[in-house]
Amino acid sequence: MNEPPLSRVPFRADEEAMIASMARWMRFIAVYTIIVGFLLFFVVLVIAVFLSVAQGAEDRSLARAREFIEAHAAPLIVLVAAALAAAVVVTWSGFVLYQAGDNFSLVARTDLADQDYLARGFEKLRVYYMIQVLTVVFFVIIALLVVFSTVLRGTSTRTVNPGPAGPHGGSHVTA
Amino acid sequence: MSQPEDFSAPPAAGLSRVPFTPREERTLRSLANWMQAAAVINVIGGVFNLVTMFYPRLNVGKLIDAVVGILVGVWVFLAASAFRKVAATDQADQSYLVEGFTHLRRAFLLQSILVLIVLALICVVMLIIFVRALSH
Repeated sequence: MNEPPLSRVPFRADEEAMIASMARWMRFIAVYTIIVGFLLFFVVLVIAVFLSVAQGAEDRSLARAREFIEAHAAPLIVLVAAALAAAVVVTWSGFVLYQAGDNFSLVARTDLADQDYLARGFEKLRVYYMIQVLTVVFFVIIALLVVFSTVLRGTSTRTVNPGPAGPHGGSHVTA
Repeated sequence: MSQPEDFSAPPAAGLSRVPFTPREERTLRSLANWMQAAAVINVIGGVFNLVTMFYPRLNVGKLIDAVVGILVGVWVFLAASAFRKVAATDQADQSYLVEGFTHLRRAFLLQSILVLIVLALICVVMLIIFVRALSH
């Protein structure tokens, strides 16, 4: 049978001050992360709106932008979607870290349910570090895929397009 | 003859056992795993910045990034080790908790100081731009 959770873990006064300080800095970083997440979301949204407006506009000054968007439509959509997802994940990790800081702060400030607050804080902190690691792994995989696809595309272009050395000039087919 | 001291064991102060449930201990072990993975990524990033800071020319920003990344990585790793001991042993749970929080506090404090410096620099640059715009 499980023992009842401790309402008070007997931390010394200096240890409680240290935990309160840690919780404060944790929440500071959390607020900063949330703001960065919101800013990123807003910037990406503005870029997405600009791209869609530029694509539909008849204005001649946007002709080059329109050409660029039409030539790179698929990668741009992927990029915007990835940036929006990154913004959401960054904001979420900020909220989770703030909750962890809140729980650790309650451990230092109160003697109501120290063990429960510790457990909840650790759970939130676990989610925070899990998001960090998985985000890095995800973006490393995406970066590797982009590099490999670029290298493969370069190789196939060179193979298909031998240049003007042939009897009728080079083929203009690109993969 | 004096006994050799065991420096790996923390001083036996506070509770030797905080009665976390098996589920909470699993969470602690999982937390330690994710923290150590994040720490390794931080250190690898720091070392990468350190190696590439001279290319194409000396970049002080990369040096600062590298130092902060490595320090944060080491502290997060040490905190994770302490939290793992809370779940794995019943020798000095409270001391291990304090040890873990101490390292974690250092990591977040250093990150916060860096953020504050960057925000201050942004404010200074914006102020300079504003003053120049007014003077023209």
